Amino acid sequence: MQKIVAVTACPTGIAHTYMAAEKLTQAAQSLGLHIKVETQGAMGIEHKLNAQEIANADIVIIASDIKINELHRFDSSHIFFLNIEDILIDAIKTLKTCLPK
Amino acid sequence: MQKHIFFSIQKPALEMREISALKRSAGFFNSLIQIHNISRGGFANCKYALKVMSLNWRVGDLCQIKIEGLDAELSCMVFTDLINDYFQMLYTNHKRVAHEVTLSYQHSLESPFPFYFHQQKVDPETQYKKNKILLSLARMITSTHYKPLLSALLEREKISATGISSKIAMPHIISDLVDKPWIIVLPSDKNIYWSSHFSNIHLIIAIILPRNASTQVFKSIIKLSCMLLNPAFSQLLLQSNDPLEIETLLIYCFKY
Repeated sequence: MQKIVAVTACPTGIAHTYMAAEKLTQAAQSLGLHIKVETQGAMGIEHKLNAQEIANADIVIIASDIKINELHRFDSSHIFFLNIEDILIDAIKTLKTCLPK
Repeated sequence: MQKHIFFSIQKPALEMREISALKRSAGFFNSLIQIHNISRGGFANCKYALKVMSLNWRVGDLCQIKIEGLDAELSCMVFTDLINDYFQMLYTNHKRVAHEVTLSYQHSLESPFPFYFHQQKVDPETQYKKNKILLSLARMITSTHYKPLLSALLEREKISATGISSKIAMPHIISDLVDKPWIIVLPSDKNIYWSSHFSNIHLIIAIILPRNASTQVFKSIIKLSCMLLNPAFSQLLLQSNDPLEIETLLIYCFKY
């Protein structure tokens, strides 16, 4: 099973961060993929990804309109940067763009 | 005629006596009476016990009784009573009993935090333009200090537009300019272009939170945001023009 880790963030941190996280989780489930989503919002960093989870991930996604905290954790990963609005419109389609063809 | 009742279910399943009460009462009327699980999807005609039984339920789910037909008014009255007996009643739009009866239910649905709630149609004077609507919104909150509030809202929109689904926009900021959370709901008769992919906006839900808002407030607003991902729930907000109904649905999100 492909392992995905993702970080979501938005400027205010009360809506888009969590909506995108929810959408990504639903989409991954329906595609039969394993996902863990870290949220960086008004509640601070939740479900924080550790070094091992990042190293073991097949796909790393950052969905944010702003610069995320602790980006350096992903220095040795290939990152897919996704647009939050695209995820809200069609999460499955957007997630598929990150999967190997 | 169309009537409806909202309630929440407090158990993981409907009991036999509840299903048969729904069936028995639905049998008295010609109207089509359906039970919908808004949170989880799925609906059934109340007359068909097996179908009702086969729906999925979880504690806290938002449910709706939807009544359509010539005797909707009368059946809504009967079902309002029934729902109140068996479930956690949230809202009924029955004309006569609605106000006096549901008012007392509102107490049981006290919001977990105090907030200013305001609902009104988008003023045609805004010409249904995004920036003018945001201006009118800021002025609803304060008639004197609306300028910094407006620029904060515009600043947020500049980073990314706040359209969140095909018909709803949710401009939201955290600001020092308010002392209590504000939730302003503006339905619109006309399409609003929100400079996002979601172009035909019909409902604006604006949220302005004070900077020192409690974790409880943030958590509640996050719950509301996630609930808005549910198209069936969004549809309820889009269809309603009763402020009490909208406020009830918002508070439901905060609580469950």
